[in-house]
Amino acid sequence: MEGMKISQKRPFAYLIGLVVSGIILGNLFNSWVYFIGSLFSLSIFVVAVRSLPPEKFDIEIDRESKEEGKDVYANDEIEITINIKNKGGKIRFLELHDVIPSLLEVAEGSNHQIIELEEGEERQISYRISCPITGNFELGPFRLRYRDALNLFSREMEIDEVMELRVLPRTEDMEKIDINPSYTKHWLGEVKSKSIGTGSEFFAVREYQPGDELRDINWKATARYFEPLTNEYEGERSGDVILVVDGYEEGVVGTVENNTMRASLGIAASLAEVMLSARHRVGLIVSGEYMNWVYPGTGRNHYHKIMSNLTKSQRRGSWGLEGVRWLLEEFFPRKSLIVLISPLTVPSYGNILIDLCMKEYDVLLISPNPLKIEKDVMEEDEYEKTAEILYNAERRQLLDKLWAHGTTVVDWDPNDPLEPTLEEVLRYSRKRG
Amino acid sequence: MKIERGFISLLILLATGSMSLFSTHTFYSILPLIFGVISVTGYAFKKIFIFDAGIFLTFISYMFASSGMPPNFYNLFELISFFFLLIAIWLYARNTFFVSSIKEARTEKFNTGLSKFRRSSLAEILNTLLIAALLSILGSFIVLYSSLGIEIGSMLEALLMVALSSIVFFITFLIIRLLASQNIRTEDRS
Repeated sequence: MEGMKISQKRPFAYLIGLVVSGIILGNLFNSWVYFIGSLFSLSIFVVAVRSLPPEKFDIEIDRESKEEGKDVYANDEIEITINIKNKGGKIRFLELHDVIPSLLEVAEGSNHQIIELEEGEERQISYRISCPITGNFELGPFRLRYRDALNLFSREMEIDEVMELRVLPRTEDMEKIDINPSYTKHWLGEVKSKSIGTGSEFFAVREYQPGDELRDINWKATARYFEPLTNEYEGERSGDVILVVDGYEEGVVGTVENNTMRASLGIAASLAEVMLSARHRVGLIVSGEYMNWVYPGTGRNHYHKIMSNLTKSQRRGSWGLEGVRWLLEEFFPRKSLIVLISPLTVPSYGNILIDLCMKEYDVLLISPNPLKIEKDVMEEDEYEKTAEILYNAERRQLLDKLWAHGTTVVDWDPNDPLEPTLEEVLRYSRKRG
Repeated sequence: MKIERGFISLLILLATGSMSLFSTHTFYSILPLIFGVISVTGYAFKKIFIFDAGIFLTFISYMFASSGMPPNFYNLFELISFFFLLIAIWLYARNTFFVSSIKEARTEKFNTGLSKFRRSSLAEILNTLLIAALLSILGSFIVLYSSLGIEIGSMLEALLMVALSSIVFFITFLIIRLLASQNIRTEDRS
């Protein structure tokens, strides 16, 4: 516990000021009253010196949590326990501040305590924090301040004990959702290919040919017709899906805790889970401060990779959809299904999406409605009805234009779950052909 | 909390008003009350610098307004009582500032650690000020004994002078040594 500092507070300066000014003014005006004032202030100072903090503390302190090293999801609450042990003499007023990032909130208890520790005393302090924002955070360090009652002297120390916390976007259950790319690749998936191949759906029975697998032989039919017959199945394939999250700072609407980017990240995480379980290859592009991208892949590890990239994505930077288009054309497979999650607040995005449709990309736009978020974060009297009507009309026009050019458009209210809306739009889109 | 704030503001006004009333009746007697009002304003608006400065100036102005007082026992007790009262209110108010700043950042309504700190720190403030008042009364007797009408022999007077000087030098040495061992900062985080 070396390197501690004693901080001199304002009362200290004022008392010294009173002592000095009493002596000076007493001499100047030749009055005993000033000397008494000076003497009284000096006496307070002399008495207070007895409670000067000791030069060394012998304290052991650590932080623990059941969630340490595990993944935490947005809006989860986690309990933090601080264990503190005083191995030295009695400490009267010890102020303990466990520094937490400003984006995390204390939900219960407090990370700032004043405690009194007897010699050899051990104590546990618990508090709960909630994590409304996704990201990688560090809890700590500990800041300790020992002060006297008059706040004349205090000694501070910092203990560099840090706990890492990864807050992932909360995913939505989307089991019923069936989003499939129009263009499939030859590897195994869950999309019916209308041709015979390896799959699970029965198609027909044919004569056995050398090389057919033994498990494909239809034994009942073989027994009936006295010749070996083999089952044929519908081919099931998969495709490439690229999730694009629009993190262009000027286009994001809402507060730090409730904004279109946050809603988009949650949806991207949910869709990644659905797509990967349907055995599609899933890629990711998050525009923003820089182009954060993951090349399409499959499997559990790939899901973690995507989640990790979504977690570190923030609403900042100037990379818009132009950069995404360049990246798609240069590095990503052609004819992929592009799922763009964007509030569509930048008018030029419409033309870029139309351009992508022209280039044979399959485009699904999920647009968290920025007005719904703005309405939530604004006061009732601040909200302009006329502006809302105008903006809605403009947005409707843009979305209709995109529909007309082959984009499947989902206008989503971020306060509601996406699944019902998305299901309805996909059903309509399939009917429409 | 609001009741406490009102109580402290009232105490400051009462203390500074009494200071103005009991100081020598000159034009400057009003100064402690004026600075008292300033400190109450600072307290009400949570501007701790204005509050501190108001108290500091009240203290100085009270000394200035009372500088014509003749030295006697009654005046000495009056002076020390007012100093005690003013400094006690000041430290008590700063303590409430500090406690409320911690409370504001909390979600729970009641915290045993905080109330324990509050109780023991107020007791500590009172203790310190009482000992300081006693010390200053003792010191004043030693310094002003002749002005207060106490007569002692020249031999005892010389001894007292030597003892007093030694004590002052010893205390000064002690404080300087204690503070020199520390790394002093002038930052205020309260």
